[in-house]
Amino acid sequence: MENELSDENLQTASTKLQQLRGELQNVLFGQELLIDLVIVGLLARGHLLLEGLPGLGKTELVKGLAKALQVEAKRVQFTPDLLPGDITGNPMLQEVDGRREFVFQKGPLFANLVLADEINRASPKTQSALLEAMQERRVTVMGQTHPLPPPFFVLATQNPIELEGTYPLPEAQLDRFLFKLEVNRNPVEVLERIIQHRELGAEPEVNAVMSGEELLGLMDLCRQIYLPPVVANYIARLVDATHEGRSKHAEHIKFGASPRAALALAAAGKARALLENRKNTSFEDVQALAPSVLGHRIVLDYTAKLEGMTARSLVAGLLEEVPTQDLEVPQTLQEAKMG
Amino acid sequence: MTSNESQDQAAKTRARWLAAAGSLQRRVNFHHWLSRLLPVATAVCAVFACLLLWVRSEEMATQPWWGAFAVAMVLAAAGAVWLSRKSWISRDEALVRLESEHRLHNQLSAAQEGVMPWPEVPATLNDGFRLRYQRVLVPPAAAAVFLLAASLVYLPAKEVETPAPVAAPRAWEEAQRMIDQLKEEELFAQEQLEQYENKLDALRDQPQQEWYEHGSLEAGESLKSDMRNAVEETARNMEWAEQTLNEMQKEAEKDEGSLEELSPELQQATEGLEMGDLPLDQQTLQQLKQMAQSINPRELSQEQMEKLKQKLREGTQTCQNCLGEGQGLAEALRNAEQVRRKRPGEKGDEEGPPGGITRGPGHQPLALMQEPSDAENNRLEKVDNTDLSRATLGETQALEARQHRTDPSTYQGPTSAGQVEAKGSGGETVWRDSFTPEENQVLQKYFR
Repeated sequence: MENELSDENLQTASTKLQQLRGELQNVLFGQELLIDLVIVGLLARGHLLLEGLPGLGKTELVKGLAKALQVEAKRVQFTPDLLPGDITGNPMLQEVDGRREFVFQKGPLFANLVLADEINRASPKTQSALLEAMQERRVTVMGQTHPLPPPFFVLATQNPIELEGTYPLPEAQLDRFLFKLEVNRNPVEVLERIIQHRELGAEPEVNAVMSGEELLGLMDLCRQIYLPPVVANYIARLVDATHEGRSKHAEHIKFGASPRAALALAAAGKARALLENRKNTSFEDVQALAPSVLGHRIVLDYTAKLEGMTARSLVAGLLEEVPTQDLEVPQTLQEAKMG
Repeated sequence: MTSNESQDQAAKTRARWLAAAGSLQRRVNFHHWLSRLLPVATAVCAVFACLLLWVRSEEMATQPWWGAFAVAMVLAAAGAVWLSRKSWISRDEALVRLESEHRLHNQLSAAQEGVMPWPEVPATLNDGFRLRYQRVLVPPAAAAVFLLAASLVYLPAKEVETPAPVAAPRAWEEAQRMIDQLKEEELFAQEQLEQYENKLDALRDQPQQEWYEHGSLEAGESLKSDMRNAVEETARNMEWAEQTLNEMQKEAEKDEGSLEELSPELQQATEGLEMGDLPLDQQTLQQLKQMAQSINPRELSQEQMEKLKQKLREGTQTCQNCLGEGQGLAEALRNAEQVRRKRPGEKGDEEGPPGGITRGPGHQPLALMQEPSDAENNRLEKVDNTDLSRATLGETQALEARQHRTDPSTYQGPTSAGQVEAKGSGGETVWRDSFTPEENQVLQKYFR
């Protein structure tokens, strides 16, 4: 696929992405927003952290995504005794051409799609190994660097209700995830639809939509999406407003979002624009993605927790507080919301 | 649609969007300017209103101040431009505002960069701003109220400060003129003239603003009137003395025995000249006293007599000049003398009254001026008459200690306090003037 952002390429990409969206919606019923955000994260070369109860379809989503993209997918169930080598791979002593030498045996990270199930159950050492691989997209074992196959996409899950025997991810490592998505339970209508169309243990049929190379082409195309300066300014002001003293809502925030969050928001905005068949990002893209991008990157203080505030509600407040345009309204005029 | 038509359509769409953005840009920038201007302009109007009130209260011309006000407003407008410039928006920012309000997903910004085609212009463009009428209308209304109030409110006329008078009151000048004239003639006692001058100086020493106040004018008039009275009295006495000397000289030539009758008159005139408010100098008084005490005027040489008469005549003339009444005063003096000397029906000089129905001593004294004058209506005159048979009205004839004279015909016996003596019959004159018994006696004597 040509990497030029032409109308034709944009249309082709849009068609592919719509097909992918359709295939995933056949796998995961009633989670349209989650599916869109997964696709956006994929296009933005980000990694996702899914938080939700077991049995909501997280693994099925990854499997379906792997089938649709025709890429290699692997699943790792994280446990407290899981070692870093268990996911990155270990050197094995083997006999090669009559000589014994260490041969690197690739771990489950060497796949295009990796599902890190219940990542918070692994020890911090193992978590760090995974997160380093996510950031560097390569694995170094015994002095040898092994690049991970592109595209490399990690979907980690964690269970919010079981805290005993878990190792919550530190903020610095949470920052590595582009999105933290909440997988909510399905309403009755969706459950009924699942019951009618699924059987326990049977995998849904998923059609292949694109290849891994095409996915890389879409990722390149995504980078060419135009980011207007006013949108970049809006992202910058929004991220700045998460810091204490920079906005009214930030008074309950202990630590604000990092510049990586701003970059993530810009990249995600571009991906969303591509998904919606646009050549430019917009304020609406930023507003739609900000809760998922910023929610896990800000640390609330004690009073906010006492008052029942959540990071998502604070981000929603920031979106209302920070205007899209840094425009001083004259005293003789006032804002009039359009009906 | 051909490619050219498509390009034309795109250009038109772009032009419409840019025009809308330009309009929004101008509107926002104008309101930024207005927001800066209104408070300053209102303050300027309030200050100018106070200034206008002051200008009007000082009764100065307001036109130059209105010009200054216009200049201040222009400066305020220019200052508002300068201050609001940092808040002004560009056309691109206006485009962003439009695309944000119309939820165009920043398509206008992208189109401006050539990334996306220009979207269709909606039928109604909304910039998302609404006018705040209260902020826009209240300051100009307040400013207008300030200016109208300052222009139309009633202000009382300013009290004009009375300028200091250039000239002294006329009475003072006349009094000074009289003093100067009397001083030139060494006939009068200089001490008395200096007293008059001191009084006049005391009046002059007042602040000039008070010269024409009622009290000051009244004091001046009183001083002038006193001086006139004194001068008149002295003139009459000098005239009398001169006439007496003339008659004494004639009697002495005839060698008749009436010299004894004239001597008291001269003595009386001399006393009047000595005791009056404007006495003569001591030398002249001594000569007159000597004449009055001497029965034979031939004891005084003819030359001395003529000098004395001449001195008295000049003094009389000086007095007449002082008074400024010329012939009127002289004639009055002569008439008064005739009244004093002639009895009714007596033949005398050709100026005496004829007999018949016009007989009598002539006109009543003090009413013989050719032209009546109101200036001396309130004049207090000294009535001096040793001959009670010739007493005039109001003259104090004598003071004595004796029993009360009562009219026995009107005595009705003792009455108790509070009792009504005469009930009256209605229509009576309650108040009537009546003469005392002494006055009745004088009247009876006079008109007998």
